[in-house]
This record gives sequence, C-alpha cells and structure tokens, in this order.
Amino acid sequence: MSNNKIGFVESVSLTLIVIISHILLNLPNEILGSTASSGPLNVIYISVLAVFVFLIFNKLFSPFKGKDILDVAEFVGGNILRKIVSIIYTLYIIFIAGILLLNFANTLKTIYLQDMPTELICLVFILIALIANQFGFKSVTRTNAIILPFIIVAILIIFFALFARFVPERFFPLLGYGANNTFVLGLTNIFAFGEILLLFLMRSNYNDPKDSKKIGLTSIIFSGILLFLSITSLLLIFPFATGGEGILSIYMITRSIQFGTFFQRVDAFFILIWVLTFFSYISVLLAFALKITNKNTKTEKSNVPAFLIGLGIFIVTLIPQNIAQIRFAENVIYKYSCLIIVFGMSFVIMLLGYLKKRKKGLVNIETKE
Amino acid sequence: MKFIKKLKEFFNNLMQNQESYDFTISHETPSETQPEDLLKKQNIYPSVDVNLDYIKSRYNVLINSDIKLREFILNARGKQFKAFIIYIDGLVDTSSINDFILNPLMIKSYSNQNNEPQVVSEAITNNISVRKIKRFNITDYIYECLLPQNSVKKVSSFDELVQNVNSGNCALFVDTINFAFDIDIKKFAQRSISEPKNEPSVRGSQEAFVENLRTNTSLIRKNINNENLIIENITIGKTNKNNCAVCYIKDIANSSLVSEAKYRLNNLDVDYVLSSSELIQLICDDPETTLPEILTTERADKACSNLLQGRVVIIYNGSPYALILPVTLFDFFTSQEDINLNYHFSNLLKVLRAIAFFITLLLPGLYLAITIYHRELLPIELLYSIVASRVNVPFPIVVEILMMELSFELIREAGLRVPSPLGSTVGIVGALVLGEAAVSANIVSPILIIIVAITAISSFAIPDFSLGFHLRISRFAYTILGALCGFLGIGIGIFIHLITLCSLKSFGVPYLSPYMPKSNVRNNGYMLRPVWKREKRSDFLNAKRTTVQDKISMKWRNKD
Repeated sequence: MSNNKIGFVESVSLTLIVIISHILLNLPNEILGSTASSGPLNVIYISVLAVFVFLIFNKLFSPFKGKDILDVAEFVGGNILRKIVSIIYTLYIIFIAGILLLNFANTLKTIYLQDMPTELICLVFILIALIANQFGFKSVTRTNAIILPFIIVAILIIFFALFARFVPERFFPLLGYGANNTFVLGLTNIFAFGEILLLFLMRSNYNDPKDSKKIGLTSIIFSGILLFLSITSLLLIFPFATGGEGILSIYMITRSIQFGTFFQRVDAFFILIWVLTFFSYISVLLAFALKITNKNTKTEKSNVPAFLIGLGIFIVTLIPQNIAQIRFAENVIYKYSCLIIVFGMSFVIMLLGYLKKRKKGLVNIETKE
Repeated sequence: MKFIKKLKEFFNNLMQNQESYDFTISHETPSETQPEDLLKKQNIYPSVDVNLDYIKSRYNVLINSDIKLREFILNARGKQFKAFIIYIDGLVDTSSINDFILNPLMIKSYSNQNNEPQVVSEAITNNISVRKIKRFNITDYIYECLLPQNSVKKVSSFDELVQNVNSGNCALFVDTINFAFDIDIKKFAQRSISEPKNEPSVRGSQEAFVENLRTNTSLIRKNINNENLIIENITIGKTNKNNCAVCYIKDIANSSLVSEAKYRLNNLDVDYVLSSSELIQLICDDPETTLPEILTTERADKACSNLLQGRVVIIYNGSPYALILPVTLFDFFTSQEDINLNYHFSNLLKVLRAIAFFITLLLPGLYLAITIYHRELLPIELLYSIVASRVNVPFPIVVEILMMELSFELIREAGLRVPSPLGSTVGIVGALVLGEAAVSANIVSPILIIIVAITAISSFAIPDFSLGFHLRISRFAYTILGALCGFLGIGIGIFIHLITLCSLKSFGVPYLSPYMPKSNVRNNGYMLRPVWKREKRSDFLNAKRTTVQDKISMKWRNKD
C-alpha cells in the first residue's frame, strides 16, 4: 500500500468528485423537493451538521492513526466483522455507482444520444473505469484531481452567468415548507454528504495522517459551498415547484445561459465537463470498491475483482425499468441506505473501536503519538 | 497505444490466458560465428609473435582492407626488439603515426644508441666510487622517452585494446612486454559544428551537436566552466561497441538519478544500438507509449542549461542529438528561445504553444462532434453556412475530414522525403492546388480546409518533434471518437489521455510534475518567471543544491 499514498489535493478531490456527481443529477432537485425555498438554508444547516459529524468521527479515529475504518472493524470484531463490513460497503458503492450511472446515461440519451441504448452508454463508462483502474489507484486519484478544477469552474460559471437572471423573491418564504421540514425532516438531507465514507476508507492512504482533519473539513466545506451555489442557482431561476420536476436540474439551468452571439447555446460544453466528471466518478468508486476487496481477498494482482465489481455496477444499471424506478432508487433507497450505512453502521463501528481502545488504555498513549 | 496495451493486458489477465511469445522465423544455425575462445577475455601475451597471430585472427587482417598492421624493429638504448603497430586506416592521423610513433621507435639516433647505464647518484669514499645505477626498463623507456604523445595508456586486455583501436587509437605491441601501448591519435573526417537546423533560435547560441562524441562533450565543457561537470563513458553493444557519455554536474544532479541512468545504460544486452532514438526506446520507462519520455536536443546550450538544472544528459556517439532526462510534459513546450527573450515574450509564446497543443489535438474531433451531435452550440447563421457549404459534398463529414487529414499527412511526409529544393514545391502543389481543386470538385467543403489548415499550422508550433508525432496519432483517435459519440467520445479520449499522463514517469519523475502531484510551482511551473526570481531548481529533480541564486540576486541595487 505504500505506493498508494495520496496527498492533500488528491484526497479532497476524491470526496468532492462524488458529491459533485450527485449535484449534477438529482440532488438539488431532491433537496428542493423536500424543503422548497428553504433549500439554501437547509444546505447551510446540513453542511454545519456534516462538519460536526465529521469532527465526531475524527475524534473516534484519533486512537487509530494511519488506519481506515476496515482496520477498526477488524480491531472491534476480528476478521469476520471486517469481512462483513467490507461486503456491505462494497455493495453500497456498487449500488450508488450503478444508480447514478444509469441516471446519467439516461440524461445523455435524452439530450443527444437518442439512438444509443442506455445499456451501451453504461457499459462504455464501466469499461473506461476498468481500464482507468488498470493504471493504478494513484493515477485515478491524480486524474480526478486534474478534472475537478474544471468542474468547479463550470459550476461557478453557471452561477455567475445566471446571476443577472436570478429572481431573489424566490428565496421567500425563507423557511419553505416550514421549520419542521427544513430543520427536522430536512435533517435526513445530510445524506448529501454520504460520501464522507470515502474519507474513512482512505485514511490509510494519506501521505501524512495528520492531514486527515484538514482533508475532511476542506472536503465538506467545499462540497457545501458547491451544493449551495447549485441549489441557489436552481431555485432562483425556476420556481421550486417546476424546478423539482426535471431530472436534469443543472443541465436545465445551463440551457438558460446566454453567452454573446457566437454560441447559440453553451450547454453542450457543460456536457463535456459532466461526461468527464462521471468518468472520474465511476473510476473513483470502482477504485474504492477494489481497494476494499483487495484488502480482504489479497488479490491485488488479479483483474477478476475489478471485473466482478464492474459487472455488479452494470447489473445494477439493468434493474430499474423506468425513470420512476431510477428516481425511487436514488431518492429513497440510496438516501436511507446512506443514512444507515454511512452515518449509522460506521458510527457504531467507530464508537465500539474507540471504547475498546479506551478500555485497553491505549487511547491517550496513541493520541499523544 | 498505452491504452490499447492496458486493454489487452486486462482481458489477458482476466481470462488467465497468457499468450506465449510467438516468433515464426524458422530456426537457423549460425554458420559463421566467432570462435568462443576468441570472445573470452584474453590478456596480452609477452611474445609479440603470439600477439601478432591473435590480432591477425581477431581482425581478419587477410580480408580486412582498412586494418593496417606494421611490423618493425624497435631500437631502444642499443637493444632491438620486435614490435608491431595496428590501427584502422581512416580513423587515425597517419602523419602522427609516422612522425611521433614510428620515427622515434625505429630511428637509431645517438641518444637512443647510448647503452651506458644511467647513473642516479654517485658517492666516493676512500677513493672507492659507489654508483647507484638505474636498471634499464624497456617499458618505462618506451613510455617515457620514445612515445612523444599526450595520451598513451598501458593496456593488458585484448578486449579493451580492440575496442580502443576500433574507435581510432593505435596499438603498439613490443616483444617481451605483456601489455600494449594504446596511443590516442584519432583523426577522422567529420562534419564541422554548424547551426541547429531543427531547433533554430534567433538570439541563442548557433552551435549544434555533431556526430562525434568528443566534439559534443567539448561543446558542453566549453559552455560549463565547472570542474564538477562529470562526463562518464559507457560502452553499449556487444557486436558494435559504441560509446555514450553520461554528463552531469556532480554537486547538483541527484545521485540516485545519475545511478539509475548509468544502471539502465550498463544493463543493455544488445548487439548494437544504431542511434540515440534506439537508445531512448531501450532506456525509457514505458516504451509502449507514444508520449516522449526523454527530451532530445541538438543544441549545446539547451543541454548545458538542463545540466545546470540538475538533469542528466546522455550523448551517444554517432548521433547529433543529446538526450535529456528526466523530463515532464511541460519541457516539450519549452524552446531554448524562451530563455533568450524577455520573460513577457516567452510567456506569450508559451501560452500560444499551449493553445496550439489543444487545437492540434482536439479541433478536428470537436468540429465533428459539434457538427454531428451538438449543433445547438453554433449560431443559426454559421450552421446554415456550414450546411450550405456541404450541400454538394457527397461524403459524410467524417470521411471528408479523415480524407483531408490523410492528404495533409501525405503532403507532409512527401515534403520531408523529397530532395529539399522540391520540398516547397510539394507543399505548394499539395496545399494550394490540391486543396483548391478538392473544393472546386465538391469533394470537401471549404470550411473543412480551414479546420485542417488551422490544425496543421498549430501542429508546427509545438517545439518538440516527438510530441508532434504523439499529437498526430492522438488526433486521429479524437476524430473517430468525436464522430462516434460527440462529446462523450471526446470525453473518453480526454479521460484516457489524462490517466495515461498521470501514470507516466520519466526516470522516477511523474510526467505532470510539478502540477500533479502538486509541488512548488513558483519556480518551476509552466510559465517562466523573471530571471531574477528563478531562485530554486525544480522540486521534482531533488537536486543536491536547490538554490540557484539568492533571494536578491541583483545586489548592485542595494546601495548599502
């Protein structure tokens, strides 16, 4: 693993790319759908909460320097628990990769690839991700870190290009469907930050384990800002009632951008950026699923696990039969599985690990180290 | 290419079906090979006759026309010894052989005939004279008195001697001595130092490397006035033993980098290496990729500036190009002209080159993607004009663009291969006449000519020849991908390209340094800083001395 060490920029990029991929698809719609005009407020709220959650996790990780959550699971429940946790995480990653990929493939098909079967589009993405992973984890993380600035710039361009067309009145009523929906029911929107799971999985790959807190906080804060900009753009351009209808939320608002007279519509340029984002997204998730599997099976030199994971993602893309099922999988299954697995199961494992260390009297010693 | 290799590797490993190496030329026993005992390491014999027979056999003197053997009687202090010299005609200075080897050894001069013992010291005690006499030693006498040459070595191994004779030295064998004198009297016809033809510079030095190794190393020595400049010779090849020089500055270049370069050169099990391009393929990290991994230059000043940065330069005998390593992608965008200009101008040129890079790589693919799949990008008027220009063209747009790209590549190749006076004619006929005729005949649309022409002009703005080749190949891939699935295809290309770039290393240095992985770009980024702010050497080189100049280099500004 020593040659898979990654730096600060690469680590932050890994988390951001996954969250941005969600933003590009249905996440802003989903949040606006449940909170209405209080979407931006809800994003600030869940971002602050996500920071707190991360700080709690970070505290629980403090006796496990240079270890990831799988190592902690092994410490808590031995090899068996590690294997069970690994399988759950792998299946979770395969599921979210498949669902989001299918959603994006449908988007591409709707926009301009009408003659190409969705399955083929998904297959292309999976194949490219498999090839990318042949070049190694480091290459995937570095490529991801190169692509990320372009995506961030694209989101900023969208925000500022549409600034003149914003209707500030759409911020009101400030609490949208009410305080309960914004702050109590809206709490579940913290699933938007579900990809902090990657932060727990890549802790053993940091060049400097001391950076873990900085990496986590930077990732969450940046994600929060990007999510806020996207939701604000969407809310202030379309009334939330209609904005929530489209499945291509960010794409829809890019169609409203007018740029001089040379380009009729610039949204196609954004498609190129989104395509790169999704190549990166699938590659990153595949890399993580592979990292988990390799750690368990010690099959680092074989391509079979990569192929099986790719096949798994492809099978997931074949399951939903229509758009409604995709949206159900994304908005309900994904949301609650994320809350249970990332924020529930991971927390329990970490808490048990921390308590076990404390019981053995190792917490203070290792924290000081 | 790397992508295809990885794809192949992936499926091979997946199915656990490792393909065996399949070489189909029929087996043939070599009929005439050198006897094995001759190839063994053999030391020189004390008997001159035995040495003579050995040399005659090894050099095939009876059938080799340019191998010259001259037997003679050597006179030394009144004694006579049987001796012979061997050299290769055309590689040596024959007048030096006559005047400074044969003449002193053969002529019976008075001093040489004096057989009296040399008195070192003399003491007289009680009328008894005690003299300390230096015993006559033929070896020392020849070396010290009879060979008025500046470079003479005593060599006891035939292998080493033969190698030196092959490179233009003369070997002297004398009876009773179990080694030979290796005398450096090289002189052969060679091209004189001329202007760089492929890397011209308006304000830079006008000296280019030539085919001779020693001339090239002297050009470097002349430009770098530092005793820490090391030029080590390494022999490459078993059949054709050719020399290459590994140059570095001892107190700047990273030791492990130097060791790695020497390790790779010393571990080449090849019969021969004909050119520096072959050598590049043998020592680079990933020979499968089309991306260049070692920088080549014919400019002595460029080689020197890279040495001063802490890089290693390899000069191969017979090649007018020096190899510079390690490199990053951004080094291929750098021209030596950059450091000869004000940094504002240099940076403008660098930006232009970066734009040219993207145009060369992506323009035809983007044109196809936009006109086939993403027409909404174009204003209606422009779209109409494109459609109108294509009304009479019978081919699909992808065929049209591939046809024009292929024609352009043909014109370029033909222009290079024909004699130089005809080159411009081919260009004019190809570009103007053919292009105009193709448009008039409605084979291609006029706008496509513009696209191909802009792409071609941009490709000439890339300073490095090898990178240009990579772009030419990649451009075809992007064109096909753009035609197949628009921006999705272009995205596939860019992603694979990026991941290839991220995985590539040149002698341990990541190819996208200093940007990925991120290191200090202040002093060694793509853009050039003012000369007084270039304080540090590149981080990724891990040079022994990181500082190039003080923070305030212009001390004259400080009046205190």
